[in-house]
Amino acid sequence: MSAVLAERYAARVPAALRRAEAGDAVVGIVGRDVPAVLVAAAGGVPFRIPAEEADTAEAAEYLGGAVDRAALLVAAAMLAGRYDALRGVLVAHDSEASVRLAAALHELHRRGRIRVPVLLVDQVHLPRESTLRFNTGRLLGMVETVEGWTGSSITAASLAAAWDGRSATVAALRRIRDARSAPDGPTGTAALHAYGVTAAGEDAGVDADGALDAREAAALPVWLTGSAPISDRLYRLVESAGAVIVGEDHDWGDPVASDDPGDVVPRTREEAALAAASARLHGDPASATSSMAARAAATAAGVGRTGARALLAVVRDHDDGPLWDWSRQRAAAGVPAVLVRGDDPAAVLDGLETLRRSA
Amino acid sequence: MSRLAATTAALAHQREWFGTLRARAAAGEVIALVNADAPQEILRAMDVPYVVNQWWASVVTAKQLAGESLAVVAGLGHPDDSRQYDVLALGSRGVADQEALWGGLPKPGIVIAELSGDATGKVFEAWTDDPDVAFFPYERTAALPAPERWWDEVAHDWSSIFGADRIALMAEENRELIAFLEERTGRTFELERLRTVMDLINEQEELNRRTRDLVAAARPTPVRVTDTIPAVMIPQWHRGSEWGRAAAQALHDEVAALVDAGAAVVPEERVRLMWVGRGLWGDTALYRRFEEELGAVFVWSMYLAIAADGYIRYGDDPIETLAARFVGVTDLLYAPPLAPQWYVKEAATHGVDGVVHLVADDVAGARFITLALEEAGVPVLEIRASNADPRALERADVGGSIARFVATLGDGRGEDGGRR
Repeated sequence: MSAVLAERYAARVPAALRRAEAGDAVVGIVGRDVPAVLVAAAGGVPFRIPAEEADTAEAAEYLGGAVDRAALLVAAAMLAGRYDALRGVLVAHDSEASVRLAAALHELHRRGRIRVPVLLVDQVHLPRESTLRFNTGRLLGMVETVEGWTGSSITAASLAAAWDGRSATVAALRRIRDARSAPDGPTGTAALHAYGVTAAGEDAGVDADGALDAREAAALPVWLTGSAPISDRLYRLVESAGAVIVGEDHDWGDPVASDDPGDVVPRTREEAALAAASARLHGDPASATSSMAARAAATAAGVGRTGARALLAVVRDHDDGPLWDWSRQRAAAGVPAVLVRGDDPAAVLDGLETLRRSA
Repeated sequence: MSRLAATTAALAHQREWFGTLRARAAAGEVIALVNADAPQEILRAMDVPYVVNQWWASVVTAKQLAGESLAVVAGLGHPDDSRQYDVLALGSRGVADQEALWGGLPKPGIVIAELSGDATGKVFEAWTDDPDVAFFPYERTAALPAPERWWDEVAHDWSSIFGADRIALMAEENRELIAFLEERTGRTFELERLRTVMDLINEQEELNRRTRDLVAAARPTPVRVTDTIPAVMIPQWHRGSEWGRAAAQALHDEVAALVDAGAAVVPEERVRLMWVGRGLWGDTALYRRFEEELGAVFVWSMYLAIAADGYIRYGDDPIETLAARFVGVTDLLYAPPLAPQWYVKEAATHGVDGVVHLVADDVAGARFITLALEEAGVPVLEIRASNADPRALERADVGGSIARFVATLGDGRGEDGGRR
């Protein structure tokens, strides 16, 4: 099953593009903070755009070189026209890099350099009522924009279908998340694939009941923090070296399952926007948008829940949030901890070896 | 040409004011450290003594103590290569020679910042490693596409520039800050006092606008940016005080007198330059280095110009009007298309021959500023470095780069011999 899932993971972008070219109203999403359930309710097929390797020279001209590579890669794909078949792209306000990306893409669209319209979905993150009100209003604005792109309108039926779909997805992802804590649980790579396929708008079609390949019993259980990885390469590397990633706090992993708008189908678009905004505000904290205290508490909880025996941080250049989180995370984790800056595989393997000796 | 009297007076006032602030802190009053992008007016109205983080960073940098401050930050377990300018104040409290830093920054009881970027909030949260320090964060919402020529509209029609919902959010946060401060300081907020503060600020910034217009129109330029920056910015840190307004009046009157007298920084002015980006506080002599040999003079920095165009706000509700001042002030400096069109306007009104654009890592939208200027026919030199990192500035060879750039600009005079 994991092999099939890996193939679907690898093919998820071409699959989404084929749907768009066939006339489906595929809407691109950049970042965890854009609620796919609202996109679906507004008649769109939500497709979370991953970062794929590309030449970033022109993108760096517009975004500046000192920006997380993941944003540069998305910009490069947009500049190359890879997503021209999409109805539009929604960019989350989930990091400095995303804001730069959205501003640059919006300006490039205005100048006629890219074809696809772009909207920054301005969701901010303090746990305050004032923030929730602002975010709800902005999601209502997003819905209007998406309705314009898709030519559809939110209806009671579309809300029910979208909510049912999201509830089923959350339930499936949570089963996977919880299964990873077991000694015979799935590999982190398989879990990442399931999250990735789901984010691409597909039904993962997987369940925790034996559907995913189990990890090796002797593998060192590791909690992964730091930058959201580009592709599954880091997971494969770590898990080829005698470790298993039993949980993570980046936005392509477990935290996606924490954004739960609930099972009660909203009656109106206002209720839907409020539920979606509230779900994200109560979801797991992300580095770029949360306090160090919240991140440290989440790390401690994650390590405790999964039984991880080591904490590994891999932080790319120009992704500042995790660097600041680190001192408190390390202190809170209560297990051996290593931070690797950059994504040099040899440095990651060295870090793992250090953890193995200490764990 | 000698330094402006307004500059000398501002610098002297700052020393005196900081001494008073240190005395109030020593007497047990709670002081605040506030980032420049967060509202300071509420502190002013409540008479809570405060230091602006960026001003203190400029002091640390000017005293060549940025490197030592960053080493202190690293010693605390935090990165020393992230948000360096924002974090200098935290590190500066561990610098060995506190006397060099005007006696040292008193420990704040309150720190306030907008959550810009991924790490500004964490920089300020780091202060709370000390349990005596409390942090009040403001959300940072994102810029909207804006109408053309925002500088003509923003003083009155701010809602259409920044968006009513962004302003409403920040106004609510202003009210939350007031409750936070009342609880922490025991002081009482009075709306009428804030109204007075807001009126004084509009008067101060209207004076800055008239000063900016004088400088823009004068050929050759009568004042150095190294003089106008402190003469504008120190009063900016005292916005809402009688002294701030009087200082802006004094600067205006002095510049007007210089223009009337035909004064010139460089009598044979050949190249007029615009400095886009933060100031080089560690090497302000750089701005004067090209005057004698090349006849090149910096006539523009953002500090006077944004005071002129970015801060004036009129409205009935001072809390909401205050939100309208701060919610997008950073957008005006950096976000496309708001910022690029403004720099193009300023380049045209000041008749500059070229732009030196210092692009720090944490500044978004820089490329579109450069593009817009180039499309308007203004040559641009981009220098990528943080003004707080002496190592990066050295690598960038700032002085050499500017000299070579100026050489490509030639003589700024048009065919008729007049200034462009």
